[in-house]
Amino acid sequence: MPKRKLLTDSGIQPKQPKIEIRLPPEIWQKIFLNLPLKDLIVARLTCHRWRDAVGSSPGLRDKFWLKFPHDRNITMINRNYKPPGTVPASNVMFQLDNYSKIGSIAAWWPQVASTVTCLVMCGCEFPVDVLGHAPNLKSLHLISARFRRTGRVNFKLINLRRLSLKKSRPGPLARLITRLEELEFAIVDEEDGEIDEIVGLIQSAKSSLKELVLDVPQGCLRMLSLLTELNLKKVKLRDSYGYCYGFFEAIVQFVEAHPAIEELSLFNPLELHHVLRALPNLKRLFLGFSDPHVEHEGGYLPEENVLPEIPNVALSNLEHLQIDGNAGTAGWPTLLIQQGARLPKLKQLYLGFIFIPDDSLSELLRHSPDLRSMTLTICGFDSWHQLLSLITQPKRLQRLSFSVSNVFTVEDDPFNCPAPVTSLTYLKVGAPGNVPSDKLRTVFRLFPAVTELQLQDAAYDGGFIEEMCRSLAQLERLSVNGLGVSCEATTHLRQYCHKLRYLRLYESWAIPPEDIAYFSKRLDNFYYNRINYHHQLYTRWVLVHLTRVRKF
Amino acid sequence: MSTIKLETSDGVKFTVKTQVAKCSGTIRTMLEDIGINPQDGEAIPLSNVHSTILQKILVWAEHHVDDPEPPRDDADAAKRTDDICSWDEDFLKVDQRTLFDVMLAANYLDMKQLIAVCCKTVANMIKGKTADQIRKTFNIENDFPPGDEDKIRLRNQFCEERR
Repeated sequence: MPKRKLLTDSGIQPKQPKIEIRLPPEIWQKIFLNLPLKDLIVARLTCHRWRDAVGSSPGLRDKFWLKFPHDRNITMINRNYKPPGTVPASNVMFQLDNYSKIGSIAAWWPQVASTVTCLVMCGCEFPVDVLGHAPNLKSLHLISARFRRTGRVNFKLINLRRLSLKKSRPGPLARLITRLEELEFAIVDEEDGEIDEIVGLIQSAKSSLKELVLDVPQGCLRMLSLLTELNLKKVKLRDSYGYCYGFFEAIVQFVEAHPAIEELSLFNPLELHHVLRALPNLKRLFLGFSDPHVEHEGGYLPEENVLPEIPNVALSNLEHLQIDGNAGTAGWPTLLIQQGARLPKLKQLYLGFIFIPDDSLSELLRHSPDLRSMTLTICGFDSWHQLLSLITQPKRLQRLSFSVSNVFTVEDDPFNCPAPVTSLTYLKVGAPGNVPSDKLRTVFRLFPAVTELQLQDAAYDGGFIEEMCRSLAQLERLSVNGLGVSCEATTHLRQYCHKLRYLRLYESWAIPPEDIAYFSKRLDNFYYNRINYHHQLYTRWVLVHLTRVRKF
Repeated sequence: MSTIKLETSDGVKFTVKTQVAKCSGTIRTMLEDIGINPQDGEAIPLSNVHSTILQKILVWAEHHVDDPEPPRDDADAAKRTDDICSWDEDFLKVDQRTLFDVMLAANYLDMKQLIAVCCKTVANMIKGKTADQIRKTFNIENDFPPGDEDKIRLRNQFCEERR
């Protein structure tokens, strides 16, 4: 780290006039934006001008969260509650339990509320006026909270864009919102009339609403399917009520009613054919799976860990596909792709905790010429060469990250790659699974243009590093999070990677002091954190060495 | 290579490469939008900038003239102040008055990168200090009534870093 020179150590003159006055508040605000909260708080204590400068900048107010009550021992907010004062803040949270009633706070709340843009009401019952004092409110979150019955409401939340209701009913909100864009709600124990209230809320926001996050029973989903005039772009359906066929049919009905959806997140879908056929505009699809062997009350449990097949329907706009297999006790689920499936506009692919058999994925990606980014996290493969063919096939790939759980066959003979992938500039190699080090190191030859490399979760020998350095002459940035590499490794870096300017090493290489000096001098950014296992100490890992140099 | 003339508040004229002068958003706007023609030989008046400061700023602009456009500032990203390049660090090793004059001029000339690096430099002068040390550093008078400061400190106890 560069020496922090304080200009004033030498430069200050005893008789100087009050120079701070000469910078206008807006410049001080720009300066303060660089401060972490603790220093910002101190800056407020310096003088009135600075305190006002902090309070009058929305960007600085955003850094403050206020919590009421301010003291954990206080369990009620009533007429007698006095907060110790205020920092002008954008973010406020009321945190109580058991729908504790918030009493009259008119003595102090209006002043606090005037700058609030994000408000969280948790475990309380509150009068609707609390919102009326916050005209700048953009984001409102109710968690186990409810409105107290009040008479007339004579204000609107014209800036409110985001509303989240968790175990909370909308109460009078339908009458207060004007341009709501995002709505999240989670129904836990459905109460009488709750769904009607929510439908009413959505109806009143129908012209502006773009995003829905739902964790609701199927009856509610079916009600929402009737609201066909919505123009939803982004929908996330959580799975607390999932696993049963009836629920999934309700999802299909819902998406069929909202064909404008561009981004969809689903958990544990039973099949994709009907859902995807209904969404011709879909650009981003996220699929999550949880362990099917977890008991789920009253729900259907699939017996095996099976992913629904990627169907052979027109997904002509899909750009981003993410499937999180989440390893259950039944093992990695297998990726299934229906013959003829095509993703012609795919740009980003993420697969995690999935077994990828044979060449079906290669076949699918052969028709995705724009694929730029591929992440395969802890995936299983039939064979090592299958994996290599898969990662070298997309010819425009720029970013690749892969880690292996298991490869059934590791071929002895070398892999014949038709041509190295010269578009790839970012490569991350994670856990190698059962792929031997002398096989894994050959990967680097396939991507000679890589400028940024991250190595993780493995021990790499000197030969590995040598081959890596030889293959990656363009390397500019290298991060290693490994478990010990012989000390000759740095020699290879110095010998082959002349473009290196960023090096970050954690608990790994034992670097000789002269190399530390060399890298500290030569690189723009050098971080070396060496930790060793120590038997005799309770803290098993002991920091042996830390060097940090940052020039840019 | 085309040049333009700039005239400072104290009447000194500078002949500057157009490309270097365009590091200033203010001058860029004058040339491109308002259509001041640099060939006219007329100097652009910079009535808020003294010649000693402009000279210094031109040294900075000359050094950074080929810098790529910075990425758009993400307001939510945690600001780092330890990434000032060593050249800038040396450049800003000046007394506080000069530093503030450079900031004022950079603000007037709309030179975002220079302002940013100056702001980081000043932020580093604030970081880790107590209020008293800050007042001493910037020669600020404590204008809070005695005892008030403690109250304000108490008031801050329930602030948390934004998630």
